[in-house]
Amino acid sequence: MSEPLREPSGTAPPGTDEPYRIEAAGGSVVKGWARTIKADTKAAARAFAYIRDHPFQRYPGRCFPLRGADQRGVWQYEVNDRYRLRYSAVKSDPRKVLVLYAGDYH
Amino acid sequence: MPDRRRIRMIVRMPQPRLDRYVVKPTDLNRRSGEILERAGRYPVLIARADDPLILARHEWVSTLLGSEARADLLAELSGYLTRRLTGAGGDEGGSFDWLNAFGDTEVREFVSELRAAIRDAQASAIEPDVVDAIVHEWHESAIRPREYVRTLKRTAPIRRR
Repeated sequence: MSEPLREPSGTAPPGTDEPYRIEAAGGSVVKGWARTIKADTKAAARAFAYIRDHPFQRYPGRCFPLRGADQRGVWQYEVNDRYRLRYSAVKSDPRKVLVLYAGDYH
Repeated sequence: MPDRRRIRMIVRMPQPRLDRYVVKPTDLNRRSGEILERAGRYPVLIARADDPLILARHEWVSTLLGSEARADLLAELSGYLTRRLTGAGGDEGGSFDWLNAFGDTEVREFVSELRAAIRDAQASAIEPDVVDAIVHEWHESAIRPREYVRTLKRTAPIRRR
């Protein structure tokens, strides 16, 4: 089961295109995202707005598809130098993004 | 962010002769203005008996140091790939040991992507930063927290690039 990812305070309003809905793939993602917001709210808000507006638009070194056969289709957004978001598209809903990982692994 | 000119400099940086303008240490007192003005355009060698010095623009020196760092990095990658592709084992404690997270096919993809980016950077078709970004992105891709791997296994990401 997935649930909507919490929008951090200070997130910019969506652009003109229909925004993507961002959902967490599980409880560990929700907790990891809460830790991310707490650690760096401004950067989390920027990440949220970016993924909501254009999750599959490359931004070299910041937002990119992960490499490796088992991760094809998974993208990463680097919130700051420590925190990461990993997500993929959802087959059943083209305007939904499923977050597979949120948190700090550095 | 890394210096955007570093890659270009490895390939194109003119190597100035370091002994084109030579001054004695005592000249620094006598005609410092002229020497500083000259050093702003071209490196000046201050000839000291045992320990010559170079007076040069900060930008020139930092670019030189940056390109040397990149050359070291590429040499390390080359060493890693040679060991790996000849079956002599991967990097142990080296800068590229994270590539061990990938199979041979993926490592070939990495090299191919990197080569294309370096070629494009040399042709100025892309910013040299993109080369750094590719190494960074592959390095990040090698990191797989346990929670993430579990979630990845139970979801089936659809390919979207």
